[in-house]
Amino acid sequence: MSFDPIVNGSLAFLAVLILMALNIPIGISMLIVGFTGFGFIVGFEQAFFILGTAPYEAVSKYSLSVLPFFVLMGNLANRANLSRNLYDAAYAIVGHYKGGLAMSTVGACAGFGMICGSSIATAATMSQMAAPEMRRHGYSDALISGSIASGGTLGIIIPPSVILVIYAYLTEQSVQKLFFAALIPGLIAVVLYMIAIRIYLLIYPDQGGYGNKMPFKERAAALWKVFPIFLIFTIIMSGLYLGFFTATESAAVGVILVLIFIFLRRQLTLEMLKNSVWDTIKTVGALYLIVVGAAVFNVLITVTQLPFTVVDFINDLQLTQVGIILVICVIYLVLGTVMDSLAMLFLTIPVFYPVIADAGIDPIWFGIFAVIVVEFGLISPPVGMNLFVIKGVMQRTPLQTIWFGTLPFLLTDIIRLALIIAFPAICLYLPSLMMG
Amino acid sequence: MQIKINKIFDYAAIASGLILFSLAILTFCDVFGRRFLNSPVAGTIEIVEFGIALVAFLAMPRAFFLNAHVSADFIKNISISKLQTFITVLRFILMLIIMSFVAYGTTREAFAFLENKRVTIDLELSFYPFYFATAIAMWLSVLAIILWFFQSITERNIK
Repeated sequence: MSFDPIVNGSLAFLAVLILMALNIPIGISMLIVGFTGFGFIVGFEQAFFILGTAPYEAVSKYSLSVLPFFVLMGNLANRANLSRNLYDAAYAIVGHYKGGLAMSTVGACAGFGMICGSSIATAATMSQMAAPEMRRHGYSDALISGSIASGGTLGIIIPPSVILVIYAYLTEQSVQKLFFAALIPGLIAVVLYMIAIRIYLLIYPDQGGYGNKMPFKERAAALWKVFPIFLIFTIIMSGLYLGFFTATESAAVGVILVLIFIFLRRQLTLEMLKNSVWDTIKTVGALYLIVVGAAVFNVLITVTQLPFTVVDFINDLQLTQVGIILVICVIYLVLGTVMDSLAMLFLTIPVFYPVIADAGIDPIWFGIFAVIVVEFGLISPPVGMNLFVIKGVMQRTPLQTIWFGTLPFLLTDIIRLALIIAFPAICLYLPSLMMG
Repeated sequence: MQIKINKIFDYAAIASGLILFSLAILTFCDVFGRRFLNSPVAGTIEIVEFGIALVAFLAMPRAFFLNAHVSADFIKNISISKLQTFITVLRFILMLIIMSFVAYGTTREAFAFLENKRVTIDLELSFYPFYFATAIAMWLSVLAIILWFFQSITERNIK
């Protein structure tokens, strides 16, 4: 059966979208379409061969083994209540300013992002402690939900990031370089989110208040408690920077260091370990099914020759680099309103990557760009996952209020995106200094 | 009976967790040995590659049984009972068929590896035991899908 590559490819994407809309798991949707499409185009005997080999080959890639380690590291930290310490430390620094609790939430999310690579996990963890605290101090539901949902997105931009690892896997780029490329945009996000909170409270002064100013001794104690987290992060990042170890090794070292840290705090119990492993295994099972589905689906996309056709099409349009980026940005923004961030990346990167490579756009820079745009999707209705996480905690708050709360932060995301488009060095400076 | 079968998924997940921990320790020892003792653990990368595949595939059955796989849930929020039943049945059929195909394909490959006796470069580990373990985990996923379906239909009927 042969159609035009555009028709074949479009049918494949449409079929995946329909299956996903019918609540079929994303990985299964991609598996079904990948297998069926490949069967029709090439033959079902070969399709069975692909089903037998592609999943194992995709999952056993060394570069991807970093994922479960980072997930485990985040879960260990979470179960050891390190998130609470991070929140207290951030509160100790900025809590007494106007809007200080919301800023503490953003700061704690950034801190948690240093040991957890997932946006949803960051939002879920922080919402448990930040929402009741902010409510107690008279913060509006909009500001509470906005700061937590947006702060949660820092989990995927501040290294280690699950999304960046997946991007590296899909495009065969260096995870290390991507982590360093994400550092400055991540810090810019923290600063811009805090500015957004201040401006929001200048416009709506009654929607947030002041926290209590802590004595110096208490502040120092709160900061001391999180010092080991920063130390672990520094060890991981400097090891990567100096070429001392690979990304997978850094993740394994991170797991062991977090374990040692928890042991020294006398929190290491069998129960805690068991719960961390349960959480990790559940996430890993779900994550790797998508990897398996994407592996088979990508074989189909390659067979349809859609990426090459799209490259030719873009070349015919004679767009500039910025033009291509803007087109991709619009497509991501539209997809982000209806699609999960992981699915979006797995589906689009195999098509977009040849386009950006052909146009001479730096793939490391594009990875950061893609993650920032994917963040939009996490806090945009109707399927912004972080919005639902917040809704789960603040059940009486209407979804519209939660979404309204994220608007100021979305505006800062647009500013950040414009900044990295205008000044690519924001992403590319640190990777250019890397050794090893 | 069903409670006992469910335990298999927990055991698979426990095995997955233990392997993951072992891999973390192995990798840490490799880095430590290489950097500080000038004596790396031979074949670490090969073991990690095999191990991570086991971690991933052994984790899947429990995720299927708990319905923990990532899906878009806008239809889930529509509370029309018949539509929900239809979606559950459709989801079950599609998951069962495709995962059976994957399990079948992997089993076939495992037998192919058994015949061609392919081994790794450093440690000369045979591929086939890992492929067989993966195939077993895949069939466990198929079983998990069946049990998940019966459980969700029973819960729906009780409601």
